[in-house]
Amino acid sequence: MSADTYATRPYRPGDEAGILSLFDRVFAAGRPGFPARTEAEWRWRFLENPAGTRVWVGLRGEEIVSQYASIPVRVLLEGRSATFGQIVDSMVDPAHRGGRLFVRTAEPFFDAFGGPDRDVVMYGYPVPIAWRIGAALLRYEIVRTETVLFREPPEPVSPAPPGLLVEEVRRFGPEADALWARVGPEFAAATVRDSLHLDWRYAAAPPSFRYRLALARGGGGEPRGLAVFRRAPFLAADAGVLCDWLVPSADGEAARALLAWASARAREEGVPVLGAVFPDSSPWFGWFQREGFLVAPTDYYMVGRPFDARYDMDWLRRRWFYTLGDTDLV
Amino acid sequence: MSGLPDEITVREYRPGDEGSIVECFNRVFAAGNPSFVPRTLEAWRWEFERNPAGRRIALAVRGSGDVVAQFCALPARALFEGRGVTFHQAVDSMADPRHGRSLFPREGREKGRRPTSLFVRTAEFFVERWGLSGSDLFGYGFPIPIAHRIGREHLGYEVIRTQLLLWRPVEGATPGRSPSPPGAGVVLEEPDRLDARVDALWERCAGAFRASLVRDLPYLRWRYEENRSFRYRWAVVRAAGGEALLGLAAYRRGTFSDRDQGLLVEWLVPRAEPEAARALLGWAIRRAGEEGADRLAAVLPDSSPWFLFFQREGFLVERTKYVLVGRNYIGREDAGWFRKHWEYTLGDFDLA
Repeated sequence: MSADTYATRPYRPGDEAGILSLFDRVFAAGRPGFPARTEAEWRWRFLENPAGTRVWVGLRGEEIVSQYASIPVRVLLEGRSATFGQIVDSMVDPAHRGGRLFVRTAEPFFDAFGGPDRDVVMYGYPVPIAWRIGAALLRYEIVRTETVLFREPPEPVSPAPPGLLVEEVRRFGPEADALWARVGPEFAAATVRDSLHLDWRYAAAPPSFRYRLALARGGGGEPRGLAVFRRAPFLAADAGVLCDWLVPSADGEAARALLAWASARAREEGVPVLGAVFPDSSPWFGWFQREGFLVAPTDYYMVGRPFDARYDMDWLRRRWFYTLGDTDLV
Repeated sequence: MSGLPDEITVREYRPGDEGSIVECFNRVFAAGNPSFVPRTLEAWRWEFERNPAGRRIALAVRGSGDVVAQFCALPARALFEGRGVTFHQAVDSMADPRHGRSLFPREGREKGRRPTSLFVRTAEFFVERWGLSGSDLFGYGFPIPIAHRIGREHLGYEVIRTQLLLWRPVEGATPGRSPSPPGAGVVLEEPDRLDARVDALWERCAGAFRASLVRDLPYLRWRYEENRSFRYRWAVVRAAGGEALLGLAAYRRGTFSDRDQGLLVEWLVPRAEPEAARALLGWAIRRAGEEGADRLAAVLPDSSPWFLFFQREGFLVERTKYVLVGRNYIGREDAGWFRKHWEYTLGDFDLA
């Protein structure tokens, strides 16, 4: 197949069915039980994201046969507003492989969306074949080999502190904005965890995700921290997963209250283990260990490609905060 | 090597080069490092000349005999999927800033490739001579950032893992942990020198390893007992009433990842001997306390069963500044394979 028979372009309304069909051919083929991606989920993930849409497709004739895409997030980067992009669903139809179509779809995507004044960093947990191609041809580099913090069984070490109330909420709303305004300046680089992001990421997600959102409030009702829990097959067949976490690093009480809530939620849902991912550079990496969590390796490696030389792998390794909610794994 | 000035040759080490190597080393690594301790010729001879696994030194040398760039490694016998092979640890990569970083055009068969520095030419010679030739199966190291970049772009380095550290405070308990009491029914000794019982211990451990340096008596004696730069302490454990070793560990106090601490640099314990392991950990903690360190640290792969064992015994996990890289020159096992199956300790590196 000649490479010249393919064209690439950005997403256009009406591409949805072709993209979903390609997704099924690539990811669901030969995997009975693999959940089909619905159009509603696709639209939530790619079109309703308040940070924008980043989808590039490759075509043969009218048929979509490849895609390179990201989920952008607004980021607070050394005190200024920026965006990062999480690379997801990069795929080439098995019938059209071997012609550099993966790279030919990715390169114009990077040209369109990557740059010091566009998406400053693109990142993700690639599957092995995407990593091999990305490292060889697309300048992917490893930020870190990822570990998971886990507690099995999910019993808390410290009791929930008195005087704090943890409430499950349907959406975070303005309380997340107030919390982010306090916590955000602690980070050199982190997704802006305000209501615009969090309520899209969790509250507006399709019901099948079954996210549980919790706010910790002080005696005066003020927000002290937030967390998101989900039951999911992450590194164990059945696990409780702490998907998101926004707590001032000095507020151990709020953290213990939210951890007690997540542990109770895990026990209620009957899962044998509670897991979370924090960068090893985050103070929460040590804090969770002091609360009884152990560290184990995973098969994942966080990969990045910076479009501003200041934010190389060493910088990202030391300064970038993320949680599992910054990925599409949960 | 084409394209180089006439007076510079890239070649293997020859007897007589050592003085110039040490001079170049002391010149390069002293720059901007006020705490640098010059390397002695005697320390070089231990590390490179007396290594029982041989020498791996590629040099760029001027006509005067002055060394201006080096790419070298410490080879070690290794066990890989049940067979004996050689691994090497890249160390002491250097280029004299007065000469080694200039760019030189390619000529001959290589014409059209990017101009490269003398350092890269020296490294490429090394890779051809001891890697792609089939001499050594696997090369590894903790490169400094510039060496990592050059290694990735020119030498095929892959990231094995971003290295973590296990540590435990010397005083008091670790919150969230409930370590078991020290090993019962075992006897711990602190010999000045190891004896042949170590070989039986190695044989017992080796069956569980898919990739590891061979930790037998010749290696351990050279690596620790004959070391000219540092003094290490041994502890061995045997069953009460028995002679066979159930485990060994080596300790020294030192700086790792910019922090002074007690370091558990060697660890050889069969997985079925948790009591021996607890006795050795107790010894290392006591030793660290006696030497005034406030904590004990160890480096083990997160894929090792000891990684969780240590945590259950009160160790916490912390990041280091190091990125472990490697290259399998011959086989198809990639970085992911080595991440899962390669067993190592801090003593497999020249950092401790």
